[in-house]
Amino acid sequence: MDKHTFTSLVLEAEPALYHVARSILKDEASCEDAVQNSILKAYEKRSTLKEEGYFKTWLTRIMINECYGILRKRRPVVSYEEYFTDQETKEAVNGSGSPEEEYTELYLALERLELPLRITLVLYYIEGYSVKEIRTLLKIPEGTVKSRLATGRKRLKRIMEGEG
Amino acid sequence: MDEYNWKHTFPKVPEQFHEKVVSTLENLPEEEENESMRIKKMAWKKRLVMVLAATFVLGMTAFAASRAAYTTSVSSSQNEFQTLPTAKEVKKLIGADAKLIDSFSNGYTFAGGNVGTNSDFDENDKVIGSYKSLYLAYNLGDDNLSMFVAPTHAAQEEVNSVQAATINDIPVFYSFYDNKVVPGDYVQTEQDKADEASGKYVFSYGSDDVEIIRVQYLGWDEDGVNYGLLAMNSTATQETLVQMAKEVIESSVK
Repeated sequence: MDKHTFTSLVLEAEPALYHVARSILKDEASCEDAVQNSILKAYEKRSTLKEEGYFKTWLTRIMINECYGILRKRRPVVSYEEYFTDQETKEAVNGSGSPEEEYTELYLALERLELPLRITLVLYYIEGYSVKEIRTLLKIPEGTVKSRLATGRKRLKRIMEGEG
Repeated sequence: MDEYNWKHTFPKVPEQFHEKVVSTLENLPEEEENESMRIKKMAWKKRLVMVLAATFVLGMTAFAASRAAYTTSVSSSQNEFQTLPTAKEVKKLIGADAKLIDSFSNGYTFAGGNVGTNSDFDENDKVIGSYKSLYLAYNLGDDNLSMFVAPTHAAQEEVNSVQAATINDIPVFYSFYDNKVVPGDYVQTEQDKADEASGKYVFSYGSDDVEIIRVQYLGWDEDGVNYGLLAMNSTATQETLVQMAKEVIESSVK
């Protein structure tokens, strides 16, 4: 894959990369670090991608891993799941983002979810990945994907209806 | 969930994020630069293979008359070859009768080699031995191994090697460690020093980037020739290497 093609595909995937990064990392500076590292890694490994049609999924996976890496550097002794369930839940409940920015009600509701639920819903409803694809992206069993979607939907509904 | 407008959930991609994407893309090396970087990377890895193979531990050996403190290895591109040398050529190159395999039954196939000149030094930096060696590269898809062949020479202190098998009464020794390879001007951090002291990493200098490489080595001596199989970040297991050693030992000089 030449540089020109690579560039086009990355720019096409840019919104997805931002959605994923923002779902995991919250602060803009870390999102920028993550996307820079992801692009560099993807460029170096582009020969390993067998079909260009899978580029966005492949790059998204690199991005998720990169975001995870940044989070681990923040809290190296905490496991992925433990960190997301504990720390990120608190941050989500307390709210995040600049007060000057305008967020939709749905976005604010998503922010209040625990990270495992949030990232699963984002990949499914916003990026349009299937359950099977999300299983590969997040390296979790299919059953866990479905369970997170079900739980996430329920919690989101309660938050949107003012009950959560 | 269908009643929610998922399409516009997230705010627009911020300008700074977009700028970061664009500037990163603009600064990516062009195709030619990337190829030369790849070749440069392969060159230093080849040098690392030579040094590791020449200085790696065999474990106990009845043939070592002396102990070396360290070993240096050099090679030049003029010493490279693309076809497996014959027995006569090997004898001329390294002064020993050695068994070489073109293709192993597990699929690893000879992919080129070169001749190295090695010198063993004692703790007073005095040369105690000098010899030629063969470095043979074997590929299996994207995976690669190296084979080291040299006249039996001074051994170094034993570090974590175990006898993995006995093949035709020949003991075969296996070792592994994590090698942290760093640029020549790299300055060790306090963590690096602690890691080196604890044995977590063995440090090698001269690479372009900092990298951790899992190194495996399987070595044996037969009829005055020292053989070694070296795997770096390879999918090959100890068992893989033992089977390959078996094929070499059970073959004959051609």
